[in-house]
Amino acid sequence: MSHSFAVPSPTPTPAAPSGIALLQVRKDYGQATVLHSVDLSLKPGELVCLLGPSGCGKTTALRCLAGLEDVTSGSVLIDGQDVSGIPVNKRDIGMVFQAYSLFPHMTVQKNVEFGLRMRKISASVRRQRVAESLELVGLSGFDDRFAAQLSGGQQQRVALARALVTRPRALLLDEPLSALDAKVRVRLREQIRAIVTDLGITTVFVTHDQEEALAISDRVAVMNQGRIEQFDTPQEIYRHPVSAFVADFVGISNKLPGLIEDDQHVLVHGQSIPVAKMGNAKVGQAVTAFVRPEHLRILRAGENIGPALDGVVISSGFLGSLRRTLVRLAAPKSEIAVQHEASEEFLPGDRVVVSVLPVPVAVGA
Amino acid sequence: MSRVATPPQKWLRRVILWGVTLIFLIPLFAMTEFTLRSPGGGYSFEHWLALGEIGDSRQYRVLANGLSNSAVLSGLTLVLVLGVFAPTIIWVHLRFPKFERILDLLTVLPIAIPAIALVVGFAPIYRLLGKSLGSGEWTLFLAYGVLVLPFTYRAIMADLQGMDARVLSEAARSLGATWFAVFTRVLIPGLRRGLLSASLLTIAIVMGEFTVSSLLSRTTFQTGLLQISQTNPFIAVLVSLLSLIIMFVLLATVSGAGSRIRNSKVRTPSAKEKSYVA
Repeated sequence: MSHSFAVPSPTPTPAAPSGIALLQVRKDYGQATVLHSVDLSLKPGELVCLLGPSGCGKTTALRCLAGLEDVTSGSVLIDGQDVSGIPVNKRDIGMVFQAYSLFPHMTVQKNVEFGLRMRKISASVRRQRVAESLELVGLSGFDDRFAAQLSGGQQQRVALARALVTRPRALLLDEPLSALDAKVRVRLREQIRAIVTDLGITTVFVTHDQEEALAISDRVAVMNQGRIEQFDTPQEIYRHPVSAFVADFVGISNKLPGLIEDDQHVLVHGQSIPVAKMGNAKVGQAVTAFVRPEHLRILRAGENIGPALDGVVISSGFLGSLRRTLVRLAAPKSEIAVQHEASEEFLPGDRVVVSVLPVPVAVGA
Repeated sequence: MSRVATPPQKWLRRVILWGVTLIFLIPLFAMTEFTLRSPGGGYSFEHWLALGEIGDSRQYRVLANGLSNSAVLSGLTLVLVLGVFAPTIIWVHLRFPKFERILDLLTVLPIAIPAIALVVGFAPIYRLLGKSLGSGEWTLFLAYGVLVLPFTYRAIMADLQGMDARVLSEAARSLGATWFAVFTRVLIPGLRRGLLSASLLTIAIVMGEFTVSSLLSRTTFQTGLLQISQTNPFIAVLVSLLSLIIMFVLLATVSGAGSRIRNSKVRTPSAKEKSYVA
């Protein structure tokens, strides 16, 4: 029996191409609005992560998609069909929850075939499809176990098999890895990515872990306070964050004071830097520029040419092929992180100068 | 600074265990000894042999009637608990969690209010009920439903919270299950220990209830026992002893069944299985 995460062959018949969308979806709980007219459209077979801090509305958006919450206004589309008024058990979706959700009184076999039983599929077909699904998640031979006899990672893999066995139109994953330890998380997320890619199933994955989101998604929707701040590929989200929130939430950003120079540039310590998205900022306005550590250049004092910030090295950490050095600036008085080649070594107390590379940055008030 | 509590010494644990055991066993031994006393002096099985006559003897009719009434009442109260209370408790837990606190408070009332005070409230209701349903003993099951509510609610709720019923029902719904299927295939089997405990508690409370039935002038097992004890205390004590033993056995059976359910589902994975762990 293979224990690798490679998808075995033959695999279950891939689900028919599907796409899902939230159109102007609003969700209120009493006076509180949790989702503000959210628009989200997934291409068939795409894996999209909803990423954001706790309370940003990502799980609510997923639950609206699933039908576990009614939308206050707007529409939910699956395969082009408006399913807003259709109950969850008729939406033909597969879902994996954050909490272990296997039925404790049932064996793995009974758990996985539950959805097929609900669809009145014959026993012989059920057996075959359960075997295929368990093989898909690398748990063949575990049919007679109960949930309590499985590890957390195995339980989530059974939950995944159970969600996929019905060949749903969409797969919804609500922080399925958050209860697992770091090593298992990485392995399981790779397995999930491999399986959904192979089956071509449209997938929404909710997480608050930016590394997880960037690693497995085709596209990431960064959410904040019930709104989608940016919906783009992981590379674009990281390289060209369109808002201060995205720049601050995804990856590490240094906050440097700047002045809006024109409708495309911000002046940061005498350097004109392109702006990814200007938003409401006006020419001459004081703003904060969010600069990635790798978009800064560090040199020893006296080596620089052109405008730069003077500072003293606080510490320098080895990251393999790279180093991250923390510098205390003379003016403005703040600390910034600079990422550079591991071969360039700086010691605490070294006097350095830091300049900003002309890479588009996000700005905020 | 907080102190880490240390477990009691082994000898102290044994003393406590034996102390508690004796507290339970001494009255049982005393009751047994009493039932073996012969009116003429010495010991015999005379009263135990007379037990067979309870069904036929005119002398014991009130006890037989009380026993059968209490059995019927246990059944009816069980129907009320399993057919009405349990689904309501589950439904509130799943769909209206904000009402759980109110339900929690309401179910404490039958404990907080003394039974004698409850009867003052029951009496006018039973006068009204008597006009439409008659004054048969079986109508007491409505009052008993109120009395058992605090215990059955907690037995069911503990299981509901332990099994994370909300997530399980959402998982089942996402897999295509109707609410009926969620109840019958997921929740009820998952709650069987809680339901079993609730059922046992219901039977124990109904069989042991005296105040309400006595004040409402109904014949039940306990009122029958009281009447018999005035003419034949040996039989009264003997029947009480047997009912206690039966309840202990039932309790032990339920507890043992619960442990077996838990143990059958928890097993340490073998080294080979651990290699699969993702």
